[in-house]
Amino acid sequence: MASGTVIVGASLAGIRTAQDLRREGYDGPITLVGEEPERPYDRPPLSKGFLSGAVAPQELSLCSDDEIGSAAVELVLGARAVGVDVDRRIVGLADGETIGYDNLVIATGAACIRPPWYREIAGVHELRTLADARALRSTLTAVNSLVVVGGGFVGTEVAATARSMGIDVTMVLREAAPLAPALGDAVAQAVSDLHRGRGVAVHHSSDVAALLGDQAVEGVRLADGTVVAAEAVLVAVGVRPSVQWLAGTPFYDPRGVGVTGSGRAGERVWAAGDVVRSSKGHWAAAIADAKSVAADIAGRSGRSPSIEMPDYFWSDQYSHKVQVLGRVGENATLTPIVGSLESMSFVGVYGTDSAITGALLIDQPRHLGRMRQLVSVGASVATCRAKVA
Amino acid sequence: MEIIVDRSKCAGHAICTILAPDVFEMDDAGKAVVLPTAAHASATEIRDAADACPALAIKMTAGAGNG
Repeated sequence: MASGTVIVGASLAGIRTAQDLRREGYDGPITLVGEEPERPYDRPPLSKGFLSGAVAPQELSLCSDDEIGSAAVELVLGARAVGVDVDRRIVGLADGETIGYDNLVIATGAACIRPPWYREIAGVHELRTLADARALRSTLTAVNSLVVVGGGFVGTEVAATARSMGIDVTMVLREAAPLAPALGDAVAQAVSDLHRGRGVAVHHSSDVAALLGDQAVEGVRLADGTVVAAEAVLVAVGVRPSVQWLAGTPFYDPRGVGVTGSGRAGERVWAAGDVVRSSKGHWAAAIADAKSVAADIAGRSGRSPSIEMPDYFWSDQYSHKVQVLGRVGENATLTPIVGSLESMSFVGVYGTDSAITGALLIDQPRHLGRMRQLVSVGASVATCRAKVA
Repeated sequence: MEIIVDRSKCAGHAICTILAPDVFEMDDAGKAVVLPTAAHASATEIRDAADACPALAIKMTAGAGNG
């Protein structure tokens, strides 16, 4: 079969690599292989607007028919890659077909971690794919109670969305507060207070011991014996890179594919997005990866953007938008610059008094541009206070 | 080239105001609007901003570009 560039994973990183390759002037064949039957779609709304019904399925599309046609990308959907022969440069598919490549881009993303107590019974959900989201949405329209296991972005966002739909929500998390590893303790406490204020029961520092129910889930039993009854359970305890299909290749590593700065994983092989070992799983990181990989394949060292963009991610919690720039950490001190966490109107910075490493904004998008500049230069807290008020 | 911000999609990320500060700014409603100075911006700059919009709210239509 035809060679050219084969991108495995019809993900955000996958489709953006294809689109960026064309923009870079790459004129070889491009084949995009996806395990799911769907065209590439955008995942962030799956835990928010799509779940509540505010965002229609067609609004999730990352590419139109015209774009696919004009970019001359061959979509091979519903096809699971099961292996790579790096010597013969072919990708094997589950149905026995093979696809030859000159350049291979690994963009298979990540999959939900299933704890040992996980069972596939009615009412138990995970959330990663559009199919997962459709199933969860269908359940949420039919139940009155939900347990969310996991206090990360997916868990807290689904808890907020479900609570806003009038469902009784209980969150069970290992950490002392939701989002603590990602955003630090102070923000985590504010997020916890926000959820409790909306009526979500939060069991922190708790582990699930078992799912209750035979054919259909009836709740969870916690490690301390507490039973939380519920008609549905979402298990959102994190993801792991989808690398099993690479077993036996030099790129296989359960922690994710190792790459160089331009996304190279090996001879004629690149990786982009959540499947990359160092990936934090952020939307903005996937599109940045795609740009570097496309530039490298096209034979350019990558156009440096006129403005350097620091790491960026966000989370929607009820009507509040939390935006994070740069580097943060569990033990990082958060220094307020504008407003307060309690009011959920806030600009704060991470780092030291003399040099900030990151910034967190809650419902303050107008300050994002200035904070980007201040994070990029590692400004002092005093400078931040003087420049942002 | 015409630049369109879909206000129903714009989610107030403000990334466009970082990558193309002479093209976009946030209005009082927390939505991005296109500035008059956009006419002098390069197509590449605008494309970077559109690509980086997490809400996929920025569209560019073909036309007399200057980039």
